[in-house]
Amino acid sequence: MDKYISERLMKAACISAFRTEDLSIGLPAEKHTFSKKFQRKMKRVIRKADQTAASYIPMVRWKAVLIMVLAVLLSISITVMAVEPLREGFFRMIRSVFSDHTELSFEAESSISNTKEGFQIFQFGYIPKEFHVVDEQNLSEVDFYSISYSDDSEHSFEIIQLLPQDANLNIGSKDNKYEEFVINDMNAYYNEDQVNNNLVLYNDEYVITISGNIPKEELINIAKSAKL
Amino acid sequence: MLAFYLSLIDSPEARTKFENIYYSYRSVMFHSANQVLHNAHDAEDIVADSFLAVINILDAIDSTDEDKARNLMITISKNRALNFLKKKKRAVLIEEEIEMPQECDHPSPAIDNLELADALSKLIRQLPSEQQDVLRLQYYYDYSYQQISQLIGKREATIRQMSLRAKKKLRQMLEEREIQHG
Repeated sequence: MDKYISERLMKAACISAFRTEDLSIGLPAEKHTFSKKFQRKMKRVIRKADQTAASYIPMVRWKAVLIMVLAVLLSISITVMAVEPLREGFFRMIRSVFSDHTELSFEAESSISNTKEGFQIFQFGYIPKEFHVVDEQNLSEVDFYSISYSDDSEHSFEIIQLLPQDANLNIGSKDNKYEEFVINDMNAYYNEDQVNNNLVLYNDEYVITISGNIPKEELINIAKSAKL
Repeated sequence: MLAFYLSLIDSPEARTKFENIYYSYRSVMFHSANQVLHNAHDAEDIVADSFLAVINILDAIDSTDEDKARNLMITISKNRALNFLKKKKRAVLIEEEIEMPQECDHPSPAIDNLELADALSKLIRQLPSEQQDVLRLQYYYDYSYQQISQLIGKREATIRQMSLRAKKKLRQMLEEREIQHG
């Protein structure tokens, strides 16, 4: 006879069979003191279990965070570069923060132009004693002027004047002293390299470089005496 | 060690529940595993594995009935110990790919009365221990095959087979009993 045992009957039979049982009969009654070795092993087991369970989620979070950070940086970059005042501020900040450690490239923008008609040459009211002119080039057709001075002790300096759109001056500040200030309403950069001390003055109309193997103070005094 | 277990549990209620189970039954679980393995070190490992399994289905464990909870924890640790012993002895258990009977296909004469339930309960106690354990977890504790699989560390298909084999054996025993009793 093929008998079918229903689930309901099985449940009733199992409850009847197992309800009153006591599986602890025959087992020792005393408490077991678990070993330290066991506890150490458990630490490893649980740590491993934690790592296995958690290892995937952080990767997902990492990727999500990375993508979000990149998206935010991209948005900020686009915004900063698109708005001229922000862009200028950004470049100023970069120059300020990294002035002592970076190779600063000063390149006049083409939007800055000589607003006055004609190329006017600056006159310098102060030239250090014992220096005399050794060379002068007035290339007014290309808006360029330079004058070189020297003394009898192999000290010399050169003044170059040109338009901002023609200027492309690299001021190396990586290993050298670098300063930024204002002289006669013109922005000024000063730096020193292995050969010369260099001072660059600029505004929207002109760029003037004064460089030579003379002290910084003398360069500044020369710059302060510049007049159109 | 309890702190590590508790770190895996989120809610304070669940932590309290687990704490109670842990302190109440860890020793009896150890003894039941040690009775199978006769090795305290291995038995402790079994206890640890059992608690990790319990954490996974903590919500489904009724800890209010102490006897029932104690028997459950003993069943878990004992079965895990048996699994461990089989693996340790490299006993190759060839799990026969038996054809799964359709449990509700042709329910010819159903045995559905209290008298037969009582007779069946006596026959259940005559089944091999492991089959009894599966039926206990399935019908007395109302766990699914998946939950039983998690608790005693056997594959779900194996649990299903053991349950079906137990019921098949019970049918045979019932038939033999009817023949004997006319």
